Amino acid sequence: MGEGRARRGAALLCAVAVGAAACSPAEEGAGPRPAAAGGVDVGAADRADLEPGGTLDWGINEFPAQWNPHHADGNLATVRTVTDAVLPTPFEVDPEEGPRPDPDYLLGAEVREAGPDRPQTVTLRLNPEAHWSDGTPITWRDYRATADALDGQGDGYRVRGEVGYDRIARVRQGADEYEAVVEFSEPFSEYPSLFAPLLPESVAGDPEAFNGDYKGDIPLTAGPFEVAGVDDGARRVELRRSEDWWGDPAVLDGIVFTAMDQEGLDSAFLDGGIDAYALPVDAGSFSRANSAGDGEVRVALGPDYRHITLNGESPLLRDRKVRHAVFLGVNRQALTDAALSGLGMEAEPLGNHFLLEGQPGFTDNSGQWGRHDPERAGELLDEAGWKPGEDGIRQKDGERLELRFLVPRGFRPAQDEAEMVQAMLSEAGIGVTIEPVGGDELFSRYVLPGDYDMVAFVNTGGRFPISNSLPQWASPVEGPDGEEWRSNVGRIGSKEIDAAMDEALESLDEEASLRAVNRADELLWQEGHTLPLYQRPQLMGVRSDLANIGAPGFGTHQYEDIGYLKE
Amino acid sequence: MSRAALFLLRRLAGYALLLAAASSCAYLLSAAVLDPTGNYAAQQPPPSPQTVERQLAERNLDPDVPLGRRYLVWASGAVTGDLGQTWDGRPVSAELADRAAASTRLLVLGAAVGAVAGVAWGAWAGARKDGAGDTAATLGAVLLISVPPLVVAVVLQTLAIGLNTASGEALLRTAGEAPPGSGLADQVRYMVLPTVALALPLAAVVSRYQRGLMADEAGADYVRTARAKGLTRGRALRGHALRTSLVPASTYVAYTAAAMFTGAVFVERVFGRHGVGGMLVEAVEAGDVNAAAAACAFGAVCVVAAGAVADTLRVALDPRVRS
Repeated sequence: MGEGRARRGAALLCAVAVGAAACSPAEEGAGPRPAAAGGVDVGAADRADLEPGGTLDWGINEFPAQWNPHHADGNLATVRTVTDAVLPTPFEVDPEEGPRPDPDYLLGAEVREAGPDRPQTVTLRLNPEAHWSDGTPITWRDYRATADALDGQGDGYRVRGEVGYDRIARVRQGADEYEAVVEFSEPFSEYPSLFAPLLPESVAGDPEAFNGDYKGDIPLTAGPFEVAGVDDGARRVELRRSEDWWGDPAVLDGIVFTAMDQEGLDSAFLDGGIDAYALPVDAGSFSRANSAGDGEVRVALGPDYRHITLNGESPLLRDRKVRHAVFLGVNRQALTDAALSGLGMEAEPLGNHFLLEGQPGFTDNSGQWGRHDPERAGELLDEAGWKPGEDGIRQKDGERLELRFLVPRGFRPAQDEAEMVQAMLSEAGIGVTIEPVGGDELFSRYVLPGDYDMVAFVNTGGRFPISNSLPQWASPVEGPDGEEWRSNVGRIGSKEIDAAMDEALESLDEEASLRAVNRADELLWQEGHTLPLYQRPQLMGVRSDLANIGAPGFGTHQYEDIGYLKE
Repeated sequence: MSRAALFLLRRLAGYALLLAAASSCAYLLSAAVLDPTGNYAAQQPPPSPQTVERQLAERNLDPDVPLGRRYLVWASGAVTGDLGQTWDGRPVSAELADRAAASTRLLVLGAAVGAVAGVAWGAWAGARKDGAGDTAATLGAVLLISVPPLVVAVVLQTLAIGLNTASGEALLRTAGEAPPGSGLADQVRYMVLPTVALALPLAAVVSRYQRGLMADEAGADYVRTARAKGLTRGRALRGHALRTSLVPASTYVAYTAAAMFTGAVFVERVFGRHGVGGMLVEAVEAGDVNAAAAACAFGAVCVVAAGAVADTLRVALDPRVRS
């Protein structure tokens, strides 16, 4: 056990050292640091170099009502930020090597491929030392209860609908109660995305406990920290070091999460009221946080990207040629520069719908459709029958090629972005009307029912590429009112795309799986389904003497290793 | 029963009716235009339509249910003090209580300091109408009024951070609230900036109002009579002119302060507080019907309370109402 941890620690350190070297801290007060293109920027340090003790004040920008990350109301980044410190996640993600068993919870994981007469199984050998904060050991029963609760069948569980659990046939006991065997009804290659986090049987086994126990509270935990209190009124969660944690003890005495609006966070970071907080992708916040004398902003490329979705069922965009003309008319590099240059970053536009730069298997599949080529766009529109009109906007059968670009009202960056797109597309003879709508109505009244032409938003891609986004690219399903596109708001799909995604999910051979992912992506480019723009950076303002916290890129924070450097 | 008590009682009945009407309007309006389904649709991955439907139905938020039926459910809860749930499952009554407490902690001191300073400032200037002091006071007030309160707050924060850096320690906190259990010094550290940021613009506006009232009263017949009976100018102004001019001024201050409870959104955000103003804006952004209705209804309560305070003050200050 101890040896396992040491090995893991060393591997992680190597991984983070690469990132740290690419972005060593600038001299004191040297203004914005040159941005890291690297995958990780967490101020990595060995545990031996940290001063045990201290409290970390961590600013968060929302205060969730529901702390169960699998509940429909708990689908917020902040929920994971807090619960990752206190709830068990059997697989951890190494930014370089991908997912692997976390020795605190798993001694090992074995996968057996499906054969003609047997299903795929994953055998998890559990760490017998692991237990919940009430003393109950973590056993295969917790895994069974979590899988049963999340499969979408159990009535009464308000689950948020994650991919994978519906493919689990059953979870049974292995050699003893510290061995869980997960049997799949259909093969599932992204099995490490499951049980993140694991819930105790007493919660997952009962819909009422599942829906209610973690509302305004985190009663049962099993991590390096435990919950000292959740204060809804003051919007604070206090964690303290867990004394009966079986792994390396947490360096910090405690972590206090306090929720404030972004303006308040910026200012509290400058005056020392908070020590760490995530920044929005916004040049103003970035330069304010960077001006703190004893603080810095840690930057890495995050696991999400911005894109423009086109409505494939809109009368104007039904023709693939018109969609491709829009693709070619948009100067993606200019949009990328506009968003990132204020952060001192340079990046290329993203050429993949599933995989992000720095991930294994990443390939730029944009091919001929990712370039900025207004002339070719014009040719495509000619071919599609759209002729230049008097005012430069193309026309066909008396109809003008005027697209409605929806933006959330009052959100300046989206408005600016839409105005740039408007100017770019006018060169190709495509008109764009920018239509601001209420943020609460954007999806429910416009995007989901298909009442729009263009819209830009952010996709969380990342660690498990297909599980994270499959519904967004899948063919419609049969619903009570006929075909339903559900999350595929681009309303474009094909059997080939479905098949490629299925193959990626089913293939346990990583290379074959990634080949299938890339094939699905190429098909999306060919269909003119959604134009990816750029991978978004992850920004975190932290005190300079804080180690092992910042922008972990595709990885996750090791909460027990966060601490202050020795003087 | 005295006439004053009867007068107040009649007013109270009126307030109750007003409140019921205002909060019903607030609910109907919120329920008619707001739609919380977008919160689920924007999630990745989104919950299944069945889950969303059940969640919305359970919280009386389903836009497909007729407005009248949703109103009845809401109203039958509201009369017992249960204001329903937010879209993400928080009890609205508890949420409103937390938020109102936060607003109170943020606003009361600033409003009190602002009102007193404004009245003093205006009365002082009004008594010196068109003198050099009056001109200086006017200039100061106009300057403060023309700068948005948000800018005042941010400038104060920047000054405080400069002060902290210069002194090498955290003399003033610029955002958030003192952690529970902290001492008086810490409480003060957190309270100074919001109090000044709220008090300055309020005092400036009140001072203009008070100055006009005071200047009018200073030249009134009864003040001259008082002086003719031998009172000094100062005593005549303080004892008679100021007292009379306080009646309209207190009404004005009460309503302005009440409006701050739902209108101080920017000050709340800049200082990292979670008050009712923020609740209203967040609820509207999230299409959160019950929370928006509750925040609006709370605004109505504040206005009604301000009316009650103003009436009470009038009874206390103006002998003619009592006789």
